[in-house]
Amino acid sequence: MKNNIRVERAILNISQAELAERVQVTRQTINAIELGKYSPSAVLAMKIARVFGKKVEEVFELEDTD
Amino acid sequence: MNNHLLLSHRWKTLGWVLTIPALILGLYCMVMEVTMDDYLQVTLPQGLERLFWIDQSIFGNTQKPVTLALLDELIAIALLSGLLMLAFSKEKVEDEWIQRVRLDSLQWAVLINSILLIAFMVFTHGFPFFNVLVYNMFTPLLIFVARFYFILHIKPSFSKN
Repeated sequence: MKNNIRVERAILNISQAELAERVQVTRQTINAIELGKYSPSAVLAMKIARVFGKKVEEVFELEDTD
Repeated sequence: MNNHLLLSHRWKTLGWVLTIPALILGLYCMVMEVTMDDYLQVTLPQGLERLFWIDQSIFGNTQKPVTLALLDELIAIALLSGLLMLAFSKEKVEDEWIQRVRLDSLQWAVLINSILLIAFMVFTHGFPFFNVLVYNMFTPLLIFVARFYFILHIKPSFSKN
């Protein structure tokens, strides 16, 4: 699953740690998601999208391999 | 994300306090071949030996009362319970990725431990295999804890993002 969390973070000008705090996970979790090493649960994906004021599909995108 | 099988975070401190001395002492006794039967001897009151599963022939006599040496048991129990506390207590922030790392580490530990055990079964014969079994009581949890803490606390410091 692809995502544009890094871009969205840049728009809001928040760090991984700040985003992590807002969705109540660790910074490593946000890092793992950004690097595509971990696909978040539906709940976490929705929480992240809500921080950016976007729909989940605007932040996360399915890939052919998913 | 709630995992009811996990202890609270504060158990980690006790986990380290038990694990580190027990690991050092245990390894020292194993490597230096210290005879642990000479320490912490307790003589069982008459009749109480029936509660225990004791092969008296290894004590060289079958006289009663029975004397037990508790140092090895004490080290083993401290190490196992310490490792359990380290392995199964929550992180400060317990989230879904950490749960994934925990499961991955458990799978790694079982896999590596089984491969090592099979290798030692092939290459170790006779009494030395007893030593393998002694180490093997602790290696699954040791590998698990090492891998879990490496991914969570050591690896991120190599790849700051």
